[in-house]
Amino acid sequence: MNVAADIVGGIANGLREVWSNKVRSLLSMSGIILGVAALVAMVGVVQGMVGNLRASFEGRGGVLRLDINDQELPESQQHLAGLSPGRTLRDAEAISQNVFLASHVGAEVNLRWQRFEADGQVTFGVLLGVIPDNIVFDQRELMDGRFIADLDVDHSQPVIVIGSWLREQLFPNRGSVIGERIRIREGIYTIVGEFADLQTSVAGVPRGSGLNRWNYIPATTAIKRFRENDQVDRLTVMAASASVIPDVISQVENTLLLTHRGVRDFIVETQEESMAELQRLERSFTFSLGGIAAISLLVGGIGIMNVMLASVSERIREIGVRKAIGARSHDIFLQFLAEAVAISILGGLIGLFLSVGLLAGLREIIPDGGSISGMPVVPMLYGFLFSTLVGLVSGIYPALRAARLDPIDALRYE
Amino acid sequence: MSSAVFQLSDIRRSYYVGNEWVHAINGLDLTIPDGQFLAVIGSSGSGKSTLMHILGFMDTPTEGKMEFEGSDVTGIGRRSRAHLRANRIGFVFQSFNLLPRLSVMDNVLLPLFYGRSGMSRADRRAAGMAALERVDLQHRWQHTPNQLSGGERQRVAIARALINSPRLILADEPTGNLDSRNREKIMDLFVKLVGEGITLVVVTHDDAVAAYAHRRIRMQDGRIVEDDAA
Repeated sequence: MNVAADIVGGIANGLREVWSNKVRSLLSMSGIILGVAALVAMVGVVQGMVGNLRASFEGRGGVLRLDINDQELPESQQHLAGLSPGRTLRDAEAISQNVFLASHVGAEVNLRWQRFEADGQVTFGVLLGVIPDNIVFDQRELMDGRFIADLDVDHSQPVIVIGSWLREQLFPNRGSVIGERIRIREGIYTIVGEFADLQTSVAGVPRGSGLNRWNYIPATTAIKRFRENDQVDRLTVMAASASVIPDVISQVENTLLLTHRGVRDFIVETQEESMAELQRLERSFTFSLGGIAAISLLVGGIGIMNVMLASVSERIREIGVRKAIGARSHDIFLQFLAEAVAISILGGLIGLFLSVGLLAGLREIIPDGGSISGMPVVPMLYGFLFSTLVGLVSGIYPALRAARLDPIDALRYE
Repeated sequence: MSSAVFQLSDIRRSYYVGNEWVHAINGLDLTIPDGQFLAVIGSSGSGKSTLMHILGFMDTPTEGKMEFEGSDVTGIGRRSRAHLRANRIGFVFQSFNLLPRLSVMDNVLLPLFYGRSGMSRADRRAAGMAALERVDLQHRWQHTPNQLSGGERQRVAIARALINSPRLILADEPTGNLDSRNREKIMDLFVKLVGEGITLVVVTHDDAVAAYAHRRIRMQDGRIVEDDAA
């Protein structure tokens, strides 16, 4: 008989032992069960969450997007503070005129939470001042009407594009709301467009219903009616293609140095950093949560070793009998090792079942949990392999102890 | 006289215990002919258990020459000894030593697993049934050992010893844990097996058991002090 047959025989033997000591086996595999379930569930949740972040990242322009952010002045320019007007709508205009390699330019004035009134109803929502290209960056889909247009911006029109929240709160059970009026502070705004509900509109990626409370007016209107200066809160540029990103960056920098009067109070940031940040986040989450789960697997392994050692001392006489009737040391070694592996494999499988249930539960509990995979195949595979490995390693020492027993001493053992 | 199963010449087995040598077997010559029923008697500490372990390839002599079935087996390795235990020798113990979690049938078949017989499942079952028939327990094959009486357990142990068609069966106080009725049954079974050509060595201090044997040797201080074949 060859080694493969020995192993098959050993595992069959091991499973029989596991079966005949059901309670003890279940207790000893509980560590492995919980370890595998925790490992798979943790990694599954992290992957789901990072998947959400990635989807929203891709939704906002992906790697082609460049963000122009404020920056502390360099030492050499400290005395120039106050000379630059900061990021304004003129920057957006200058970039779209001069940077030919940019496909879109977006600007945003964030007016945060505002009180909205119409038809005697009142509600609260987020108000943003934007320019037409913002619809590309924010990836919003219109259900009715149109988005903010160039003319609206040029003439600071009192128009608004609303999200589904405002529609539900202010105009319940109504058909088209285009042309209706909404009051924000002292101003009256005419509805020109309405966004589709996000919960159902973005294919495959349910996003936070919070975005449904976002509403857009022209950036110029926002600045005139709500601001004392003409600065914007976000300035974004979309490169025409990935290969021209370095050129776009230098063109944007040159353009902005002009509008900022030579003051370098801005920085152009690529998404590579965000991408790297995202990956770092994923790695650190995976390692820290996976690490905790791995420790519990290790504890499970110690549990198995403990039970196997007890099992060996309990069965010294049996080992003697087996050796007397012809078992070689390596037969005994394989038998006990197979028993440990059988326990860990069984525990691993139960843990996998448990993790599927756990993930299903977490999908319900965690906000935006819909993107958590119910059956993350790769983590499951790892969890199973790791638990088997733990069983193998923790079984070696007890199995060696069993195999080394002298048959005569073992038979005499009472 | 037919050929010898075992031929031991000037065998010694010494242990170093504390700080002195203990000679469990101290210069022993023994020839066991094929088909003989040999009883080894002696008080405890006389060396009869050590002799049994040496005959059963569980222990090796420190000195002397040992031949089994005509070939020199002095100082063969652990692997070869395990092979001989599994394929050429059957063991019967005083306390039966059946594995409690296995069925009667699986207990009987265990040596085939370690003997690497290469038999098919069906052949193994047939061999197990045949062995159980020889001890008249074929109807109990599905039971577990704790469902059997002491005498029945010992018969299962004998069936296990028979499964590999061994040349030699070694029995260490096989009736020590049995009442007189069961003792008779077991001894009658042994006599029947010897009649079928098996060589049997029984270690006992029960004269009634020794009376069944063809030949009795008495041991004392690691030597044979009485041999009624001599």
